[in-house]
Amino acid sequence: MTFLQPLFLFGIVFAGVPIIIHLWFQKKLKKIPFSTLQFLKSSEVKKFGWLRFREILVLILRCLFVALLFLGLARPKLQRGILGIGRMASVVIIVDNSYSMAYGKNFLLAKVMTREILSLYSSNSEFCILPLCTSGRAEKPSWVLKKSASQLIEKLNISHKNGVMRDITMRLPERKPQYQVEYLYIGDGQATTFKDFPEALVENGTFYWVKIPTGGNVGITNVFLKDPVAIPVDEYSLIVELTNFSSKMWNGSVRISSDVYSFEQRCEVQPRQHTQLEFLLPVVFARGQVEIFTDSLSIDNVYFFMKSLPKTSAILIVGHDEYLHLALHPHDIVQSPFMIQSMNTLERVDLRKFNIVILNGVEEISESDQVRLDNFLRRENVGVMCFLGRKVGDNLRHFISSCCQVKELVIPKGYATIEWIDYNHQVFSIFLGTTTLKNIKFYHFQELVADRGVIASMSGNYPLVVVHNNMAVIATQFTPQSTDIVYKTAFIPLVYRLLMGLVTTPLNREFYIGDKMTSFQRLKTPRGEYLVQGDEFRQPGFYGAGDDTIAVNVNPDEGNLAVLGNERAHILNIHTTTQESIVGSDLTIFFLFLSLLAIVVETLLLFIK
Amino acid sequence: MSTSNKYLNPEVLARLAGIDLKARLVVEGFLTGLHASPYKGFSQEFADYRQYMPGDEPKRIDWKVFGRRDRFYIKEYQEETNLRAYILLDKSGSMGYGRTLSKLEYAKYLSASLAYLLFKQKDGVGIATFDKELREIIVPSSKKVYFMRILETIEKSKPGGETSLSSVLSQLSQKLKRRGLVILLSDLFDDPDSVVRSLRSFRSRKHEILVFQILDRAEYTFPFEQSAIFSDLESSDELIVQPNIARESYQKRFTQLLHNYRQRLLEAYIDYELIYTDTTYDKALFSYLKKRQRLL
Repeated sequence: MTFLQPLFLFGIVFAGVPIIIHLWFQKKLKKIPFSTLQFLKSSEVKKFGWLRFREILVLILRCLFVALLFLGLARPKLQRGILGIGRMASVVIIVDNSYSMAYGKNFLLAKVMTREILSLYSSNSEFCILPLCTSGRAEKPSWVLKKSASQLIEKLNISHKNGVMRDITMRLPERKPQYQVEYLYIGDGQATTFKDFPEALVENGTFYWVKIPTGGNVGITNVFLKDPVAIPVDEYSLIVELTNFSSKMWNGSVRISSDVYSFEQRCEVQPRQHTQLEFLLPVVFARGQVEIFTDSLSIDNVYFFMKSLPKTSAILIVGHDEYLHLALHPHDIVQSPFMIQSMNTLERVDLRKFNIVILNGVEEISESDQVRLDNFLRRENVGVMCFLGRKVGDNLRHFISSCCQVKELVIPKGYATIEWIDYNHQVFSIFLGTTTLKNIKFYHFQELVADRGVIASMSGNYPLVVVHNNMAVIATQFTPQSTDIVYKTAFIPLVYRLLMGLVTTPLNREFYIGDKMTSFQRLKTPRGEYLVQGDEFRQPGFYGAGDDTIAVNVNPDEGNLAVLGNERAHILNIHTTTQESIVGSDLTIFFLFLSLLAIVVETLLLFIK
Repeated sequence: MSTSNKYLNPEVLARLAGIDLKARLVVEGFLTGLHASPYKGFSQEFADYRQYMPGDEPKRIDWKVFGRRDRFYIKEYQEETNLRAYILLDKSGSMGYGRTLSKLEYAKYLSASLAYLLFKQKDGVGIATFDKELREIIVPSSKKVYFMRILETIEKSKPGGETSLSSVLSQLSQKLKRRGLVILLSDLFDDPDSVVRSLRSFRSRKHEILVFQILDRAEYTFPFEQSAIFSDLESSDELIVQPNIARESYQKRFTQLLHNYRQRLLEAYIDYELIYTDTTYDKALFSYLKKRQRLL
């Protein structure tokens, strides 16, 4: 057994005080001559024996009380911890203050453990206290002595950010350590924390992970529109994705609410699985929060969302419009989300009236139109789509060069078909698992070259559709002379989704803690403070930007409490340990309890006659 | 309290010197208080006439005087009997206990007073002192010399030794051949069965017995508060006692003793009087006179 505060052991000598007091008062007993003791002897002889025994017992208990009290204050440890006591080292203590540590009293426990670990080291040791998550304006830490380190620990607060170890080496003090370096990470050890773990930490010294047990949980990992390009009429579908990170099945309720509306569903999620819940919400309800209940961790139980729903768009078709018009107005009785205007040229057209401009087989544009289109694209929720014809002029080539390069006209032998499609893209996602895009023939098309944004390509690896920002380039016109798609069922939905995909490339209104604010000049935080461009988001909630609102959430990764496994830790050369093994089992409470018990029993004994 | 009666108070009396003086003061004070009492005078020696008063026995009316004066007068006589009284004074160690006045002191003044009263009434009075054995014995006599010896014996009695009341009483019952009044002054801290058995042996020899159990009030109430070492005055044994705890059972046992004595002595037709050392002597003297009246 070892003691963290061995000086208190000297206090055990005070255990003799009750004996001295006892002897002192026994000597002071008054002597009373009495006529006869026969009545006392006969009646009290047994009781006196008990009294004598009780007196001794009380005396022992008093001595025990004092001895146990001082033993407790000496902070006894059952076994010697792996760090030993009085060790001299340069210690980097990384305290996990990521949001997952908000579980139960984990963060408090981490701080207590950190203080205990501090007490194990010699007073000449130097310490560097590093919170795992810092704000952008955090000061560079330095080597400090034990007392200052203890004060730094007191100041640590939980952060809403997710913890990552990768940039720790960048935050180490500039001055070289005086002694052998030891790294101690005190936290729940989420696997995500150790992603891209810097090997320098284990090369320069020993790295210990002092484990803090964590609870399994269910987290809201995403909240998204079911069909981001479908224009809702009255209601829209919002998908809430839940992930069960624990090894037990989760059963609970999920609620979506705003100031006015509230919807709730019950669901269950299998262990280590995720599930998606669909909510049908009114279109006026684009902002709100999702909450889950019956969970062990509040970290990701609330998700703030702010969705930009697709709206009716005004379209300008420049060039041949027969089939496109047909596609966008499939039938008179169907309410179209588009208002279409056709023109032969861009000249003298006020582009401010439109959301989408379609250049359908236009061979060339003037330089002034090029400038006007460039300016047009700087607006929010607008897009330009180019269906390339047999010829492409220089100005047009130059205009679409930000998206892709146009080489030359390709006339394949026979025809080309669609060979590859990015079904993950919102334009094609609804075609997944169908054959509607197969066997579509393309008789001629422009050869496009793009290093990004190709979402569909034809045989011969010729890109068919290239999308970049709010511009889409299609290698050919959708006319019967160029392709038979105009006769296929895929024609209408494909055109429709291509257009909506362009204009609904949303201005991102959902961010995570730690992201930097770039879209707005100034934002009002939920606490009423202001953020300027370049500042980090530090707390979840809704941020106001004039009439606009953005939602900020804790990174869903932080809700994943899957911890770094022992095997993985071994590979990373991390020594995993627990509080008991690093500082020894703390018997303080045990001894103080025994001490209290002694005084309680003593008091009870005094009441027994 | 009148000047004469104040000497009936044990504490006042204790401050005076000389046991003969104490005895005289007690008895004179007591008798002064008895001037209207029917206890006055039972002897045959004429003392005086006095007018008949309701309550007086008609046989005592002097009819000759009635013939001359046409009024009822009765004759009063000096008391004169052949009563032989034995005062048995327990001077064992336990009698030495007393918070203001020891039981032995009280018993000494009482026995001296009784002796004086007996002597004044011309009765024969003797004394025996004892602890675990019989220490001194003076045979009853009405002579003044004997009376002075009795007072001297009483005065020099000191507490000490253990009590063996029953054996001493058995011895005495053998020694006291002529029947008389046996007055026992003791705290009776002995086995009630054996003590009463011994007293019965007096009864069988036609003695009349009057028992004064003399106790200190503290022996009954056990008023101690603090834990203390209690030392036995007879055996010198010591015991640490917490009075608060011991009191209840002590009192129970003590009361049981008193009750046993009262019950058994009553069954044996033996007069018994419990006297605490803070009570005046007249109570004891009255008891004596009552007893004497029954004897005559």
